Amino acid sequence: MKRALAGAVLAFGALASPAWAENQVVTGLDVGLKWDKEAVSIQPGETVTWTFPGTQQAHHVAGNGSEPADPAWASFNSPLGVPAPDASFTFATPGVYRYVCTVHSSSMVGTVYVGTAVTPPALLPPNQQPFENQDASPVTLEKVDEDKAKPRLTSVSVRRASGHAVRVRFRVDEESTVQVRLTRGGRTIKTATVEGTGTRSVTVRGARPGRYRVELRATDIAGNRSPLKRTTITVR
Amino acid sequence: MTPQQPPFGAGSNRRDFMRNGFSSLALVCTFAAQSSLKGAEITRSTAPTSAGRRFKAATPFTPFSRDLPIPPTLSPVSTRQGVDVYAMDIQEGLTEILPGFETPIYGYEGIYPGPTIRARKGRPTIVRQTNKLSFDSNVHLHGGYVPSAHDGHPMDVILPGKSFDYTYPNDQDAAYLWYHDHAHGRTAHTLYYGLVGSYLLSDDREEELGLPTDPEFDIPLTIADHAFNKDGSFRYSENVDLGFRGDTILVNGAVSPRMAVKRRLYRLRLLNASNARSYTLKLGNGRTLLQVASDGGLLEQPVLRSTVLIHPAERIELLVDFRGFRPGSEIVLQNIDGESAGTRNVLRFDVERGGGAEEFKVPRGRMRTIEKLPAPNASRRWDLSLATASGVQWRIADRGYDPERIDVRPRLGTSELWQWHNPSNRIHPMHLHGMLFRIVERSSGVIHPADRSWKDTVGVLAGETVTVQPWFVPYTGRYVFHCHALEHGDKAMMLQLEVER
Repeated sequence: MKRALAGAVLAFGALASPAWAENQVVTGLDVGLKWDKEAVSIQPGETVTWTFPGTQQAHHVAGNGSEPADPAWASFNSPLGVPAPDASFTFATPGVYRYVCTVHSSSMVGTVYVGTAVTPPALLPPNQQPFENQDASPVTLEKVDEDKAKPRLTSVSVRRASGHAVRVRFRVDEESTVQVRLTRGGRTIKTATVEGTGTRSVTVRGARPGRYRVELRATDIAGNRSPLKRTTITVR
Repeated sequence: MTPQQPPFGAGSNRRDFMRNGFSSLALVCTFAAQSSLKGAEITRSTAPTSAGRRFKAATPFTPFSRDLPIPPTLSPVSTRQGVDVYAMDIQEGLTEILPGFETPIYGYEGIYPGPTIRARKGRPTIVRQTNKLSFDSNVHLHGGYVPSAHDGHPMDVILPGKSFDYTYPNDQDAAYLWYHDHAHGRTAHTLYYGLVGSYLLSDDREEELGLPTDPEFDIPLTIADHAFNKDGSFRYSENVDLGFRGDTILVNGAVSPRMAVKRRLYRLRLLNASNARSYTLKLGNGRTLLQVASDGGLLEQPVLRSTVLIHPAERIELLVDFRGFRPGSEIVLQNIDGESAGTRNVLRFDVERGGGAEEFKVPRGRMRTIEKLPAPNASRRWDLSLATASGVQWRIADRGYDPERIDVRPRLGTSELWQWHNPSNRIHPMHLHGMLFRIVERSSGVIHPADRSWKDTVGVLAGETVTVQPWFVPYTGRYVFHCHALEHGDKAMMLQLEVER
């Protein structure tokens, strides 16, 4: 019993002690969803430990690739967790071993070189290198000019036209819908609508002879309404 | 070419693509030169043309540099006997997303997003889809009442070189439907690379209400996050847990674009076509947004919102009134959940001249009456969880997808209560094919008024339990229900139901 305990302490010490620095620790990172080391190099008999301190995403580590030099590596598969528990593997057989977090299998990949020469990572072609969006242009959420001004109706003139018609001219200072109404005794007899801006005119036809009140009001695109403009005309 | 490779990723096309890649790199240099010229004030673009803005853009990711692209509306190839027949090719394509770069995509008609179909209630359409890709594909009309054989079930595929005539009865109320690839196990890849399009179904009711239906003012906005490689190609990285996250938001295939608007009433139809990202959208400094419709069409009444949360595959229709703003006004639609500038900036509205008489109206009061559902005759609980027993897999009720197994057999015309129980720490947008449901209870609080109409997808939040009531109409047959975080659905968060007579 005592001997077993001593052995366990020794094993623990081997992991923690810098004197045994050939053992390697690989850390899984949420940022970039990658390992802090994409390649580690050890001697046969040494151990690699994968850790996931403080991660918010589900990770783990597993052996990747077919027919590894050590068949045990093929079934190496640590449990998933947030954060995942540490996992270790002692590599006895020289060879090249790939590891992966299967949750993030396109970015969280790496290689353990056991007693073999490290192959420098190949320079990736442009279609595999990230083109990161690092835009930080200042953005103004709103630059608005709200239209709360009433449209202005000016130069209103009314004259008789031939055929029981009334010709109304006016000027409006912004794009508006102008409604012209002919009323008599409080009742609306005729209406006409004109859209536009600047000087406009409209002819209201078919009014019977008599004296009419003429009312104009402009409504702009925003829905602001001008004060009512009034005048009178006698149709003959 | 294996389907898990990007478009143009292999074979004889690869060399062409690489050539494009290198010319694009040459353009990066040109870009830098242009920027420095601009810095020295030597050049000044006076006309506010798209090219001018692009010229001034500091990087290909500068927001609001490009005009919002509007996918073309597809014209029928025949309109005989009250049926509109359309034809589309599912094919590879090249598109310019980052100015000066070509991005290889898969696309309906080779474009991203695919062409828009505008259909009419009561008038069936047939869409002949021809698969010109080198692997199986199929088409799911998301949100549609579609007979099982035409629904785009994961196992019903169009082989390379073959065609299939999808028949859509359009016998349902107006709604923003969308079509996308649904071949088994690869939607995260195929939708990401572009197999997405809008299908706008209209009816008399929305016209009575005076909602904008003119394509100039009725605009589908397909929102999706993406990432890029140095040659301009889409960059995809697997994330089975969270789902894919990109650092750039595309709207209709352009990086955070600008949309020139007249002083008019606009109907903005938002589709979250992202693999797995949810958005909380806010207009300007928090201007109110009027939501009129969700997945299954009109709400019972318009709902005023200060922010809009939209999960993958959900649709939200907003009416935005630009009449009160003078030309020159600019208002940004932001994703306040974004973790970077690139994922916050969605779209900027630039008010331009033009407006005048508005023929469309802002509806007030009741727009629609939702049919009463039959009393539920069963109650089911679906636990949503991540399993690691046989590789990393998401599960529903501890099951992964098995096309040979039917998980539920409801009777046609009945309804049930389905409880989505999500103890995981991820959002699961749960989607039911071929049918609609209503949300009846949420453990996280009251059901938002905007979520009380017909739905086909509900975002079940982390730790939340959401009870929905599906109505098993109008067709019998085999359908699927699944998580629409595409990495989850592909890795096997999908079950099957068979509606029986």
